[in-house]
Amino acid sequence: MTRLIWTFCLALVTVVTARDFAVAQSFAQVIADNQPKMVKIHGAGGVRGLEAYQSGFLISDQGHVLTVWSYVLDTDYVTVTLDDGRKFEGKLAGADPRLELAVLKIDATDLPSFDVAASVPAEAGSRVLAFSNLFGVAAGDEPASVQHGIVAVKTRLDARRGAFETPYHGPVYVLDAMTNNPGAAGGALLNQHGELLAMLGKELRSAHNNIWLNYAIPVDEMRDSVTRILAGNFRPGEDKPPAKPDEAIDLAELGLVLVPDVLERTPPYVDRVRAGSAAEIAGIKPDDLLVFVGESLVQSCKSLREELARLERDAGLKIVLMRGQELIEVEIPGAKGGEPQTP
Amino acid sequence: MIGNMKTTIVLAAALVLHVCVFVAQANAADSLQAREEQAIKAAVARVAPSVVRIETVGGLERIGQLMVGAAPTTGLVVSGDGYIISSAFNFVQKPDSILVTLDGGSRRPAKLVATDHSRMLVLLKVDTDASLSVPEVVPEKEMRVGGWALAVGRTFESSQANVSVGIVSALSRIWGKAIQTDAKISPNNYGGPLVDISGRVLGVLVPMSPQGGAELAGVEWYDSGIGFAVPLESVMRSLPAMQQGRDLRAGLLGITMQGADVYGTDAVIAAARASGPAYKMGFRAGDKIIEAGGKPITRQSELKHQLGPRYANEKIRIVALRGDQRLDREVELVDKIEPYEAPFLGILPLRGESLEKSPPVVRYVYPESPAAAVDLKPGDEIRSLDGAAVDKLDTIVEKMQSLEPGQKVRLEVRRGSETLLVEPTLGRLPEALPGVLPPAHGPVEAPPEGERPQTGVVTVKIPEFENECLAYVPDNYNPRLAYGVVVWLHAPGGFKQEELIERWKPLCDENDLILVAPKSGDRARWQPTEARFVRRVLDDILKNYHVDASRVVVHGHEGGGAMAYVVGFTNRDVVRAVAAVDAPLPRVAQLPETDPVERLAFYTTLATKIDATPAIEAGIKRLREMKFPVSAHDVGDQPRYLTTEELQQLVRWFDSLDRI
Amino acid sequence: MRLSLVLCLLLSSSAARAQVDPQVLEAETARVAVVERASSATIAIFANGGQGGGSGVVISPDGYALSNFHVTHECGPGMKCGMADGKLYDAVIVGLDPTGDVALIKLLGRTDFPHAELADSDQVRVGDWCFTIGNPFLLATDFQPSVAYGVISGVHRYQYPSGTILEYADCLQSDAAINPGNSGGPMFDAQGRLIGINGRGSFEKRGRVNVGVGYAISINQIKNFLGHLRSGRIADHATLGANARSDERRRVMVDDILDESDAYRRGLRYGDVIISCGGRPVSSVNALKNVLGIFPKDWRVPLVFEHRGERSEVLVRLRGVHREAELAELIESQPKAEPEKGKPRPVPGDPKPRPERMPKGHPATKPAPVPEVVKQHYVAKSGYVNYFFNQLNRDRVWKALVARGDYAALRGAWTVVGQAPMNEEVRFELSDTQASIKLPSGELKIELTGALSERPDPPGSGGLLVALSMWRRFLIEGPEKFGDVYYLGTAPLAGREGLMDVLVATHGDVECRFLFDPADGQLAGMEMIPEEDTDPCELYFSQYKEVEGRVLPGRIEARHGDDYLQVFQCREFTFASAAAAEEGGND
Repeated sequence: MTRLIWTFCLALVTVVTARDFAVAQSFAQVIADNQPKMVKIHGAGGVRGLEAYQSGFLISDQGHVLTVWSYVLDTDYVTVTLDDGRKFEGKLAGADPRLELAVLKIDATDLPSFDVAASVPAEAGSRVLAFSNLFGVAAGDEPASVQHGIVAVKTRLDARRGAFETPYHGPVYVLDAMTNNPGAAGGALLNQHGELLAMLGKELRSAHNNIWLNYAIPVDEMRDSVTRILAGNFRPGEDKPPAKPDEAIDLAELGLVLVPDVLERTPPYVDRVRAGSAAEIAGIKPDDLLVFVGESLVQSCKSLREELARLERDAGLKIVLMRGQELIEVEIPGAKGGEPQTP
Repeated sequence: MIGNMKTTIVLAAALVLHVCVFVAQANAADSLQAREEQAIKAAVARVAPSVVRIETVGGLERIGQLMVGAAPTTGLVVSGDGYIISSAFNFVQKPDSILVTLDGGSRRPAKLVATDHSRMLVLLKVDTDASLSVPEVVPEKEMRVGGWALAVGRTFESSQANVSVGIVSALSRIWGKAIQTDAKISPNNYGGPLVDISGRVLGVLVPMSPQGGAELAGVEWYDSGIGFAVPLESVMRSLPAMQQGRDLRAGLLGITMQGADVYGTDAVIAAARASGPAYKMGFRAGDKIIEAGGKPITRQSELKHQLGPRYANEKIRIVALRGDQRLDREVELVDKIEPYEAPFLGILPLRGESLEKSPPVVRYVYPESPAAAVDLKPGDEIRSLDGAAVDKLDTIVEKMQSLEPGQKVRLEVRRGSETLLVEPTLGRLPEALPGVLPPAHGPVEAPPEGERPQTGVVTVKIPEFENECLAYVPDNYNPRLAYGVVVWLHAPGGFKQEELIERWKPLCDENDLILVAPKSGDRARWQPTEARFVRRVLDDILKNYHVDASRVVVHGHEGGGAMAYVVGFTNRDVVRAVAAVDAPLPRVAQLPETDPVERLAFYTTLATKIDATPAIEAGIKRLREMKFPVSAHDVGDQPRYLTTEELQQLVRWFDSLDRI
Repeated sequence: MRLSLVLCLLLSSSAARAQVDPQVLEAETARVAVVERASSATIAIFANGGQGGGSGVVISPDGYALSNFHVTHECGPGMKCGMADGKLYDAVIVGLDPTGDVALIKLLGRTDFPHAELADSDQVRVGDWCFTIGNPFLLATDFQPSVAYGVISGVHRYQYPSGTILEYADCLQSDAAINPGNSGGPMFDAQGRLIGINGRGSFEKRGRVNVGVGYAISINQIKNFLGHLRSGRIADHATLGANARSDERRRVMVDDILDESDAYRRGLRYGDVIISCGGRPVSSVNALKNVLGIFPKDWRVPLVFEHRGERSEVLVRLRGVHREAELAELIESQPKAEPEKGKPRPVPGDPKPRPERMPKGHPATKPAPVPEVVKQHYVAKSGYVNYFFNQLNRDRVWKALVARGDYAALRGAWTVVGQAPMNEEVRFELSDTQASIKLPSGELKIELTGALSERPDPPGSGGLLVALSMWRRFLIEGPEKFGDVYYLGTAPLAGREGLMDVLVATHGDVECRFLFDPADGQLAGMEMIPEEDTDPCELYFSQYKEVEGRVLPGRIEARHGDDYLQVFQCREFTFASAAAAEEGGND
């Protein structure tokens, strides 16, 4: 069924291509049209490894600049340099710590700008142009650097800066271009028609495999905060951290005893199952390997305990386990309070 | 159950995509850029059903800097009944269990069926009732540099592929095993397919390095615009074997080439391992290979390109010239060559300018050595070996490189007016430290006129390095003599110049040695990267002084000792011995192999009552298993640096490194 | 189940490509063709017996090729170059521009090398497709180069010297992968024309791998230096002899200026506003550095500036950035080793963004012997990269001239009769020992002995008589006998199309520069420089006509500084016999 749809799409492709012939073009015009909306931002920093500059772009003809919230802005004097080389003092109009975005205001009018209200979709494979002052290459009236690429995938950000997790875990465009470089944060991501898609993020590594990420935060995610800041009625909304359950599930209660956790990442094999326990009733047997709790993969005894700690004890529990070369799904009903415990 | 649930999701996803395609088609049909964007999306959509997500349970958490195993990785379906190919990198953590998420979203446990150690691939098998979608293969002959290359992974989302776009950068890379692309290749798509603009698969993405190496080699280039893929066509060729559960390994000939320049020099055999297939088929040192696998060979690199793609047990036709004789043989490649062990005749040759150009003269005969067994005596002149004339020292040294312990050789020896014929059976290099040795040379002519290099205490400065370095060159340095070089790598805390010179001056003056003492940038520790500085210092000495290539030694104490191993392993072309005091062999991923030409001998001290002792002993064991000669010197309970006597003994060992 | 089987069949059996937009395939095919052509001109340069090296590109059928100074520097006079035809060619060093990080080498053994077409890199726009070809990480073990596609990220970028002598002015920035080993390799536009030579990247983020920011030296800059590079010498870059800063109104103002500079003599002063230089508007200090960075030392370029609100346009002679000794020293200095290829390196703490030199392979083991064919094309001489090519060009220029007439026999006195600007008759007498000019108003004669630099006659001319005598002497003696004569390279000449070949000739205490028009091989002009940092006496020769089987100028224009300008129409040339010269007494 799904494949039928694929082939239908392909059919479409062939139909349309019967049309007029186009030759290889450059992105030059699109870029030239949008360079005037880019700005260079200089502020705090300059010490080891911390550049004293970042990127931004105009989002109103009244001199509002969208950029990332960072240490660079953490000073009384932030300089915003327009594409034509004019320099202004940038005043902080507002910031959203969760999205790590900030809006600066400069004292200038009739400026070319992007419209954050417009919503332009992009998906894996969409061609993009990234504008930024990465490595501070451009000074004064020198135009921002432009890189090309595609959206590799749209996914939720799961990254770390140094050892710390990032506050934002919402959707981002992951890019196949090396955009997220020193000074690039706050740059603009456009599609090939010059429409604003997103703002380039900071330098982060994947929390999973530790490799450098190149990503941008979609306008759709930032629109709300930005419009509130522009309207002057912004109240920072926090990402609710996953609420710690008052009573978490614990293995003993389920009647599960795992193999001793001795290795770096001991696989969560079941060592023993207490007779008459919820686990036994659910059909869990010794030597079963627990692989999924709910939808999340548990790669070790450690991660299993962490996962269970997030779950409410009287909510039911779905476990996928591996027995031999077979995946088996079991349900453990929510434990009712005050059930007599066998000693 | 899970399967059903997932399919509905995918249906939705598919519908969405279908709509997008339609919209984009409508508004952007005019520009080529937009048409290409559509083609890219369509190509990915076509291959996506064959791209699976791999997750693992258990295993290691990180290897060095790199986190492994935590992130999902990618695989590619290669047969409808559930065989999946992937990158060996994705399993470097040695997981206990492997889970595969198929395109529909259904999860399957997977078995690791076989590993291709040459192309760094693994074959997985999942049980499936429905036949999986197998991608179309791009024949290698259709691949073009400059053509589209899309890298597809399934690591960020299980319901969606992630894509990176580039072109084919080169074909026949990594000695003919891979194609190259500038698409961004990383752990986010290793194991996934590299596809052309029509969604057909060019190859399977893997990290690789032309220097070879294990699963992690080449990972440092991720996302740099340098990525590799093993052509799927070649994967399909070896698929039946792997499906049988056979691991595949690179095929070896068992020969070493002459000269370091793989581009500038002919493929002349420097040494053929007696246990290797080339030797067994009659190829010998000195043979010049002119054809391999039907291709003409004009330089070493071309031979490596012929061998690179071939597996063990494959046959290759080799044509070589020996003088005007032409050898044309079919050789069956092997997966493993026993480590080479250097042979030992049991003599030290006399040194001196005159002797570098005339038949070698015996300086010393090792007691209980093969030479002693056939009663060779100091002063004997070796005229021929196995019938071939030995006109100078280098000739016999080269000949010995193609021989191994246990082989019987015929020596023609000139003693005074008489000529003797002896047939010693070569032995193993001695590990005992030599006792007092007779002088290495007689009186030497006065040095030639003209400018003399600096002697005495010399400071060596390498422009782009902060590090300091000083050297001691005997004041009576005479370019007519070849000098040994001792690179001293200090223990944490550095050294005092006066003390160092006081200790080494007599030893250097007496034994024709040049001492080189570089300092670590941070005197508390040596950085592995500083091996480059040490190398540049060595090059500087080699350039300015007459050095005996067989007696270049790196000697270090504690941290400096560990560094000495590193310098030795990374500079095989110049370093001949490593002498470490109170330092275990560092944990290098894989020990280098012994080499007939680029030899390495080891000296290490052993103190019984320290924590490091087991590590040191383990190191000695590993080295000996690799057939390196290791002289272990017991210094009693406590670790300490050498006494004057011990140091003299060590220097005698240095002096004996030109042993034959 | 049955369904998916059907689809498998459909997918595998269907010719997938048939389903792709034909225009996309067409464009792909075109790109493949362009890449193939461009690759054929690209070379992999191997140093240290293949342990190190970089890239380059052939720009002429006889094998002249461009690379980076920092690539060839570690090779010595000869190097091995692999090409896509699978062959390894010997090459010899020709000339160097250390400041611009450019090297010219010559591949030997063919006259029909595939070569790249040079583009006009000033036409390159940000967003244009481009591709880099070369030997990153020395992967081209079969000499087939690596190709990477991308777009132009920036143009006219200025990159600070960053500790080294290398200053990247007016360069191109691209996101096409430039990695260690791409050094010296070509950057092409989408049509496969050469737009630049890759030399740098911003590597600080991940040590030694590309992070989407690479730089190429623009081919237009290199075109300006090509003549100098062919001269077998060490080319130097140029400065105004003035420093500039931008003021609050972002105008570029002269901060301080050397009074011995030509710019000063042309009237540039402290506080003046620089409007344009070399025909390019100057909107920032970097813009000025950019435009200055593309010219060789001693070129004369148009400068527009405002002095006290008054605009003036002048032709200013640029000064060198370095002392000759400085450069020579640099060339002789030990080649700098580079970090091991591919080994990532921690991000440097340096806060200022600094592109780094491209790393290459491992350091040398042993220097390989110089091949015969290289020896035949190499002549060592102090102050030169390869004197062989200086002689080659000097002789080429001279041969082209004497092809139009041999002056060697005219050792007697020369008499030139003609018309001075006010139509009065003028008569020049030039001999080995004397020179004179005769006008109705009177006669002026000088002896050609002692310090010629002290004969500025006629007054205001800066030494017209000496200049004419040097002209005569040069034509008669030729480069071999005139004195010390070498080929400088090429330079523009006011009122002439294209670049002139320049020979520098020293006699006594004066230096002369003879400029030849490669179009006709004719001597187009000369400059006689009595002493450094003074205005030369300039002669411009034109309206050549044939006199007794030799071509001689019908018009000689003499200039000195901004004020002196005399035009002489030459009616007749008479040459006394050499014998007469004898009586005149020869010195």
